[in-house]
Amino acid sequence: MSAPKAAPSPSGKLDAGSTPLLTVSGVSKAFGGLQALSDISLQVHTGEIFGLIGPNGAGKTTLFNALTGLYSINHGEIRLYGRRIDGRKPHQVLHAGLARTFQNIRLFAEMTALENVLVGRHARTTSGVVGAVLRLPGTRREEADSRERSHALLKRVGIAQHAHRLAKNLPYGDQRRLEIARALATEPRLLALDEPAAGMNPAERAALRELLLQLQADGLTLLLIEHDVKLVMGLCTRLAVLDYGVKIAEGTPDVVSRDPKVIAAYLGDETL
Amino acid sequence: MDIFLQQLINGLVLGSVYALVALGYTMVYGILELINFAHGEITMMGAMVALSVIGALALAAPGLPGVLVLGAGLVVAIPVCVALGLLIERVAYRPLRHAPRLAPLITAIGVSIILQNVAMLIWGKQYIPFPAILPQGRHTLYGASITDVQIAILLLATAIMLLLILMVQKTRLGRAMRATAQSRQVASLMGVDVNRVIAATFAIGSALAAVAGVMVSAYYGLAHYYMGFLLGLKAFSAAVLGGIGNLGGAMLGGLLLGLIESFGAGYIGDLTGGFLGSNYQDVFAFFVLIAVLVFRPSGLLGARVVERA
Repeated sequence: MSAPKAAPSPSGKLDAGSTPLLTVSGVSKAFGGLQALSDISLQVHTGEIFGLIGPNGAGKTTLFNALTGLYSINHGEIRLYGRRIDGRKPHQVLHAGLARTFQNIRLFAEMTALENVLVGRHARTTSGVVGAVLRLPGTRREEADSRERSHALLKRVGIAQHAHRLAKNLPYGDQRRLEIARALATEPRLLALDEPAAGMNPAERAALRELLLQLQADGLTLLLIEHDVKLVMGLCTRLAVLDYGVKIAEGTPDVVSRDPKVIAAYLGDETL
Repeated sequence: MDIFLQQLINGLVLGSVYALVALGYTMVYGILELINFAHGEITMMGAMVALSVIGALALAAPGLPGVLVLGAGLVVAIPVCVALGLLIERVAYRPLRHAPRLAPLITAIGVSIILQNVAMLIWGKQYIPFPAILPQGRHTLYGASITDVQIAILLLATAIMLLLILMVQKTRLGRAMRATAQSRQVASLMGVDVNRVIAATFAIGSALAAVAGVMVSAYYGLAHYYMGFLLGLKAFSAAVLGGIGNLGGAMLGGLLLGLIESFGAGYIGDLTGGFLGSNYQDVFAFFVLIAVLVFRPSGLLGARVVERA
């Protein structure tokens, strides 16, 4: 099992553990009168599995959308490896090394599983139509390489047998895996997963957990939104808790789970 | 049966030209859900530019082989049309990407009027004859005749369509186009530069239109600043007939429409006892359009004409 080759870091010093991979500082986002994110700051370090939890509507997906360039933010800045990625377009953020999956699965339904992953390769390949028409050796090599890597990724997430089925015909759990494979194909440094275990049965959850741990072991950094508290607590090195668009806690699972503000947010004030 | 075979040949030739133009409509619609009504005028521009080049070359070097002269016309017309298509997308459609759908549609009609008038200013109002440079060979086939020009149109159109299918199915750009057609947002989140894909779509559609424009003017032997209007409407009807947004549908719709027109024009005199003649040829495309919109709005092969929420 070879890791998807991460793009080389821009300079050697960034590999020192102290430099955060992702820095979110003072990010705010409002939709009309609704303050969806208020002054959010957090740092994700290389090699971590960083959890983002909070009640429904706390702003987790909004933060994901802001990170990946879907929403422009009103205040603050977002840096990946020290480089600003706020204000960039989604495909530029992806090129910088941040890929994501979606809470409600958003595959290219009318394309095969393999083609979905190949679209993920788009960002890391360059060949144009002319090369394809003339069947230039460089283009053919690149295409063959893309296919090989994509097959390997399908195998890695455990759905190689579905390579030539349309994405929409895959079982639900496998669609979630396909989303991960597609995101991995973009060779991210940071993979953001929006509720990857949603709707999965216990066996699928266990397999997903294994997969995420393997990805971490291969050097990938993960940012995880998840509702399954058991999964989050067992998997994440650190957590941030959002409630009503405000970060109310951050720390290791142990610390966060004992934080009275977190307990209040999840269970309601009366339990205090 | 010779008239049947003759109409079949004429219909296929005409239909393959319609198919090329219909592909431009359908590709843009598939990605932007925009009906690019200026597409017919791009076809016209292709014909006009090619004819100017061909006319000038035929005068300057009368000895040159006709095929070479025609090729020179195409070599100039294609980049001009591609540039025009890119310019229109950039200036007229992209600023309206997030506007209500009616706005770009009306803009498209505006662009087509502008192009017609620009063409009229450059080339005048008269019909421009296609110089007699092409081989005038004519072959007889079971009582029907087929000209060299017709054979060339059929072969070239078929080759182009096969290449297009291969491109869309097998190449990196083709995959990006299909991904963008399914979801612009997700495609961009997966690293596809959506603006580039849209520009590429316009470029390819315009190149096809240029070729089709040259084919039409070579086939009918003339070009005119207004020729894009009817041709565009018919190709649009063909795209709707096949299922707009569907490449195979545009090809099928184009061929069917060509056949319907050809057979309609061939038999309408007999059917109405001579009351209506073949000059009613143009009516059939619009009968087809109305019938499709009433009975099968998604077209023959279309499934994804559902309005998105």
